[in-house]
Amino acid sequence: MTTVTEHGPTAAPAQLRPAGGTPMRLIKAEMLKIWTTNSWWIFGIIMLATTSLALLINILQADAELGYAEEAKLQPPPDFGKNIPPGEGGPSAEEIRAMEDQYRASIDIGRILVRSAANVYTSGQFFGLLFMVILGALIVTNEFFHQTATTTFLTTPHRTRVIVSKLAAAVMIAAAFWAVVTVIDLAVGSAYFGFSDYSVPLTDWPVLRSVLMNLLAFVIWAVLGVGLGVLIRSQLGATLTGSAFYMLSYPVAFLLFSLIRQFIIKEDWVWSYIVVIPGVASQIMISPERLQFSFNEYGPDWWAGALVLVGYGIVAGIVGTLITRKRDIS
Amino acid sequence: MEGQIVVSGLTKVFPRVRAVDDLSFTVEPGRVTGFLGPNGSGKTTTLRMMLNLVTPTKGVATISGERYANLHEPLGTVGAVLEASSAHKGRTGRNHLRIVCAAAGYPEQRADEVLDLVGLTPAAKRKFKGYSMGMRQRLGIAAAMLGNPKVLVLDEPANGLDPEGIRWMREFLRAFASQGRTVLVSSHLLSEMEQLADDVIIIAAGKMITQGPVDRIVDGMAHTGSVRVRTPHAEALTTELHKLGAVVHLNGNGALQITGVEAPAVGRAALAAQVELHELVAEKPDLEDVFLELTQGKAGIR
Repeated sequence: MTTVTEHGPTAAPAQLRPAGGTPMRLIKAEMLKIWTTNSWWIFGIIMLATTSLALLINILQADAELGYAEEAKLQPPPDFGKNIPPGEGGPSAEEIRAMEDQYRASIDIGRILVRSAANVYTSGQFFGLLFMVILGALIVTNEFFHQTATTTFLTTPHRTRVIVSKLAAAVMIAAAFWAVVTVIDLAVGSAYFGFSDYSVPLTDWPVLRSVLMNLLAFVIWAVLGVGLGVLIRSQLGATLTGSAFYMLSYPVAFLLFSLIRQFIIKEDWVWSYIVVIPGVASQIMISPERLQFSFNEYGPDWWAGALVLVGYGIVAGIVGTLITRKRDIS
Repeated sequence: MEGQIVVSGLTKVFPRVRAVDDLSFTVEPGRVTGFLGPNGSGKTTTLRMMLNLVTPTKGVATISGERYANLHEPLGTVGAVLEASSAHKGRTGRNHLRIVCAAAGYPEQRADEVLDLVGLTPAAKRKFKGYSMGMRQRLGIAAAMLGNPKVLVLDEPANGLDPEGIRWMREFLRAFASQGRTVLVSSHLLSEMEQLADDVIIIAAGKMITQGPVDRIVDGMAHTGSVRVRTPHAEALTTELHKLGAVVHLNGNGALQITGVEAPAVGRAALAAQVELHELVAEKPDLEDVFLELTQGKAGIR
C-alpha cells in the first residue's frame, strides 16, 4: 500500500450537502446493511427449501383429506353404534351427536377445501416466522457483535430514529419474504387445485384472511425479533431465545392452560385467555378455523389473536426504542 | 468557536468505579492534542461522552459550541475513529462506507473519494475480515473523513499498527491540523505523542493531572533531568560529587547517572578530582519520564 500524504486530507469536496429526508435516508441505510451481507440470501435459500417441503406436505395432506371425503360421500353413512343401547356399552346421545358432527365435517368438501387452501397458501409459515424473529434480532445484534453501533449512532445521534428505521427495515424485509413465499405457494397450490378440478377458493374470506394474516405474522415476528435484539445484545443469546420463545410458547402454553383448566379454574372460558401468549396468538390469528383445544373447548376468534400480537409488536418497538435511547454504547 | 472542543466538569460514575472525575479541558483547532493516560484511566469513556455514545453522570462537552447530539450535521462537524474493528466482518470496505453515506445523505461517490484519500482503493471490494490492522484503521479514518469534518477524534489509533502505518497516521493527522482543523488523539504510547502532539492532556484514574503544550510540560519537569558521565575513575568522581550533594548511580552500561546537579558542576567536579571523562551528557527528561512521574501511583487497577 502506498502512502497517500501527497493527497493530504484536503482531497475533499468544498461543501457536502446531505440529500434526502432523514427517515428515508436511514431506512435506505438499514436496507443496505441487510443487502450487503450474506445472511439475507442464506435465509432466503433455507426458506425456499422449507417452503417447498411444507408445500409438498400440505398438498399431500389436502389430497388425502379431499380424496377421503370424495370416497366417503359415495358410501352410506356409518351408524355410530346407534342400535346398541347405552346401557349395554353403546354411546350416549351426546357422543353420537359428536360423532355425527365429526363425520359431517370430514365429508364437507367445501369446508375441507377452504381449510386446505388456507394451509397450502400459507405453506412455509412455521419456519418462515422463525426466520423472521431471528432476522429481526440480527438487525440489532449485528451492530453490537460487529461493533458497528458506534458508527451508526455517530452518524445519527437521534437514537429513536435509528430504532424506528430498523423496525421499518424489518417490516419491509418481512413483507418481501412473505411476498416471495406467497407467490410460490399460490402458483404451486393453484396448479394443484386446478389439476384436481377444484375451483380455487382464494377469494373466500377465510382463505384470503389466512394469507393476509400470514403477512401480518411475518411482519410482527420480525418486529418482535428487533425488540428481542435490543433486550439481549448477544447475537447467540437473542437468536436462541427468540427461536425457543417462538417454538416453545405454544406447547408450553397449552400444557399450562390444560393444568389450570383441570385443577384450578374448572371452566371452559379459561381457554379464551390462552391468546395472551404470543405464540398462541399468532396461531389463532393465522388459522382459518377456530383452534380447538379439546371437546367443546375452543380458542377465541382470529381477530383477538391479531390484536394481541399487534399489541406485543408495539410494546416490543416502544420498549426497544426506550432502552436504546438510554443505553451507553461502549 | 468553530472546531473547538470544550469539556467542562465531565464525570461518569459506573456502579463500581468513578471512571471520569470532573474533567475540564479545551482542545484548540490548528493543533494536534494528545490525550494521555494509563490504560483504564477513562480516556475512552471521556471521548465517548463527548460523542453522545455514553451519557455523562455530570458535566457537558461541546464541539463548535454544540453538544454532539444537537449538531445539525454530525459527520460534517466531527469525524471519529473509535475502534479498529468497527465494521461487519462479511461486508466490503466500500459497502461499509456506502451505508454511512446513505444514512448521512452523502452521494455514493464520496465513499470512493475517501477510499482514495486513505489509499484503500485496491482493497475497496474486499471483505473487512480480510483487512490487516493497518487497513482497518485506514477504513476507520475513511469513514471519519466522509463528511469532510472540522474535527477529528481518534481513540488509540496507533494500536496494532506497524511503523509504516504509524508514520502514515502521523503525517495524515499533522496535515489535517495544519489546515486549521482540530485533532484530538488518545494514546498510551508516549514516544509517539511526543512526535505528534502540540498539546497534551494527561489524566490518571479519571482525574486531570496536567495539560498544556508539550514543551512546556516537559520543561516544567526539568529538575528530573540527569547527567550521564563515563569515566575510568568512577570512585574518585563519585566522592567529589557527593561533596556537592549529588546523587550518583552506576547505570547498567558502566556509566554514572547523576542527579541533583547540573552538567557544568559535574565538569568542574571532574576537573577538581583530576579524573578524565570520556562522556558527559545532560539528559533532558522526555514525555515518558514526565508522564510516569506524574501518573505514578495513580494508575493502579481500580
